[in-house]
Amino acid sequence: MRDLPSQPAAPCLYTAVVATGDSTSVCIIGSGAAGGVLAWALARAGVDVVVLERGKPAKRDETAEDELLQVIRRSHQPPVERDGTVVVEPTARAEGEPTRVGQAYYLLGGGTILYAAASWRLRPDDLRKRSRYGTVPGSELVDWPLTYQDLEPWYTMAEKEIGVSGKSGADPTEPPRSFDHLMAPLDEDPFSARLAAAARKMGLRPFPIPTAISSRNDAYLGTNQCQYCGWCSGYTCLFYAKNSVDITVIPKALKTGRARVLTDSYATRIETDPRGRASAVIYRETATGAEKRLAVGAVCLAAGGVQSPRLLLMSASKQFPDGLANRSGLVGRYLMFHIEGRRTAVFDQAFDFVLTKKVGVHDWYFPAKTDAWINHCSIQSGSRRGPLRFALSREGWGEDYEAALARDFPRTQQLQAMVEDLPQLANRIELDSGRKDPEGYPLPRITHRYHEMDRLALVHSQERMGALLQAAGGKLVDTAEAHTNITGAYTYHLMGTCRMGTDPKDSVVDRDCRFHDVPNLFVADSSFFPTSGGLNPTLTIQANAFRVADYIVKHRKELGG
Amino acid sequence: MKSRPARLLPPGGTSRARRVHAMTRRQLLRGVVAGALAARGLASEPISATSHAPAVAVAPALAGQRTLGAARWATLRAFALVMLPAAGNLPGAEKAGAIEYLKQALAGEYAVFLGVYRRALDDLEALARRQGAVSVARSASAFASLSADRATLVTRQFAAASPRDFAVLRQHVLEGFLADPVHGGNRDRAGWETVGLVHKHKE
Ligand SMILES: Cc1cc2nc3c(=O)[nH]c(=O)nc-3n(C[C@H](O)[C@H](O)[C@H](O)COP(=O)(O)OP(=O)(O)OC[C@H]3O[C@@H](n4cnc5c(N)ncnc54)[C@H](O)[C@@H]3O)c2cc1C
Repeated sequence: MRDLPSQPAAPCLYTAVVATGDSTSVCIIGSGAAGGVLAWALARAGVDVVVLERGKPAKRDETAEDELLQVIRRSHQPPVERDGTVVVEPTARAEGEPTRVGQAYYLLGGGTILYAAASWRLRPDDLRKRSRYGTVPGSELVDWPLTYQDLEPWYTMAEKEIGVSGKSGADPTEPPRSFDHLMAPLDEDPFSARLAAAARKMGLRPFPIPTAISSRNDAYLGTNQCQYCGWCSGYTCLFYAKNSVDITVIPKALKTGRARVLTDSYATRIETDPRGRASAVIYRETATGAEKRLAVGAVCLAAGGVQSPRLLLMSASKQFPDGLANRSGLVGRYLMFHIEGRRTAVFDQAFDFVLTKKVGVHDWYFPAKTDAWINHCSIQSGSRRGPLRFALSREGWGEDYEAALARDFPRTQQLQAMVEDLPQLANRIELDSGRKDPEGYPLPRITHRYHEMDRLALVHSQERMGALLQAAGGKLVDTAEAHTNITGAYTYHLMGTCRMGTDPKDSVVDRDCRFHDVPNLFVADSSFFPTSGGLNPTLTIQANAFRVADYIVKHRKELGG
Repeated sequence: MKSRPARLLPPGGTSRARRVHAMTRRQLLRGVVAGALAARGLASEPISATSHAPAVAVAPALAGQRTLGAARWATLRAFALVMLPAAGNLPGAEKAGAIEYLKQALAGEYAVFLGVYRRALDDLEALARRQGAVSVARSASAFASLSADRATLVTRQFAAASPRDFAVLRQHVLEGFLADPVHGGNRDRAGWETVGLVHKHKE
């Protein structure tokens, strides 16, 4: 075993007592990918911020590399029955049954604690779907009111501040960049090497996936070099090598003395003054049940693509009868996930257990002219099942079953596809009229149906992944047949529910992620995405959060209003 | 026991104290439904029994063993060995610590499943007696006295008749085989060794 790194400079106590009559310049709701960045970017510019975070700090030592706790018992999520989402599209489960679809991880650091940390820049064409592909019946395609050029400096900042390991120029679809990656890519493992070699033989251009996992110690980031234990996607990192916001940007924000992070604090309502500006955030201390009020100069939502619109809908008032900042009626609409494809094959060789995203294939990222779909799609390695999930996914029992587990588990590999989910007006989040969470607030209700093109693109990527696995010598153990609804396979990428655009009639926030209806209210989680791209969203969330923070800093006088 | 590099522990947290989570009856049922669906291949989610449930107190755990009684325990042990028998290089449920795991789980986190276990094990037992194991004393387990072939047959009948209960018991046996040894099973990492999982930092 290698020498283990020591824990970087201890963070701090994350809670502080808020007296009644407390106030702050900017209240950030949620401490995940977006909230963590906002806290740091605002605090370092001298803006006082309070971060309200519903969850607690992650218990790394208790849960790391523990499949039973993290994946089966889901110790980082509240029980689905009390906190799940009600999905109303035809599903395998009865309608109205709460599911895990779109359910958040309530933790200091949000989803970045458990994510696989693939950290992509969207491609220029991801941001101009409408001008690139025209109109598509059944989907409200739009261009982002931003170009890749507008975002480029913010991507660079996010890559430096979060820390991305990767190899510039290796991904054939990578857009031009003004900055090379901060760190070299992670080492290959035997499977990723074999996959990459096979892909090259097919004439493809596989490349190392850029990840927010440190390939070396980094004092500025506060992270250690990856120990290659393999337990990345879905797991807390025991070694402080995954650059989650609770160890990278949040400690720096706290060190400025300008930021307070209140954990166990569930924002339940945003209040407005007679002028229609956000004036206070009401939150509940989940431990005590006490309700508190925080007067605010401005509010920035960062609670995730399901919880942010939910909070707006929960904040309906006389002034905003259909939900806060919802004069357009579009809050909660255009909900997008990524449609997840998966193929599985058994090989003639045992491999190390690796849940790290290592090899990407983007030769089919853009559709061909002749294709009947326009979705973008990324193919990625690193999504195996742990031994317990693997065993449970197989039917049977007895000696043959046990022997098959022994034989197949180490030889089984999966590929994963992220298929762009086209925006549709009817796909949305509402408040469920029946089910409530333990605090008495309505559960989110999700309506989601695939677009026909989503299905076609999904099947196409299933076939491509099958071909790749076979070329690498694997024997496919599933078919290209794909699930037909979001409960069949969902991702934790929750986008679109506060659509960004220039016209208040057909969007919810403006180009600066400021709500058209409420001038001191912003959103920085992926709710703002007008389209979803075919890539995991977090680096884009973080880059944009730096941009939004910059806007708030520049306009703080008028915001303070 | 796995060892943790002490230097890595965050301030304040040293031991891995097990928190006993509670669970409501409805959650239990939900879990069981999910399990049944999984058994029919309809849902990809495993049975998730616990989480940060609010503090609905579950009676301080009586040792699961005592609550089920000796005969049911004998049935459960035999059932676990039908699921994962010892053969050749395969350690089987007992040697791999799955029975010990069930004991600990039923005495704590999974105490809410005791009702399911009682019902399931009584069903198995009744089926075993119908299979001709009638001469076994009422206080003993007829299922445990069956030959391997017969036990397999009875288990098949049980799985067909009570798919939900079967799915719960099967999942828990597999947990005892493949979960982190810190939970009481997977003795000496026998389960992981069987499936070729090298847990670099838990050696
Ligand atoms: C297993 C897994 C693997 C993933 N892999 C990748 C990957 O490789 N690459 C990638 O780009 N993305 C990945 N993701 C997705 C990634 O985690 C999310 O895109 C990202 O975390 C979203 O950031 P966010 O700030 O929008 O929301 P989050 O990170 O979810 O943060 C929202 C925070 O708000 C808090 N909150 C919610 N409601 C309230 C409220 N009312 N009051 C107070 N606080 C509240 C939550 O507790 C949470 O901490 C993965 C996710 C998972 C679960």
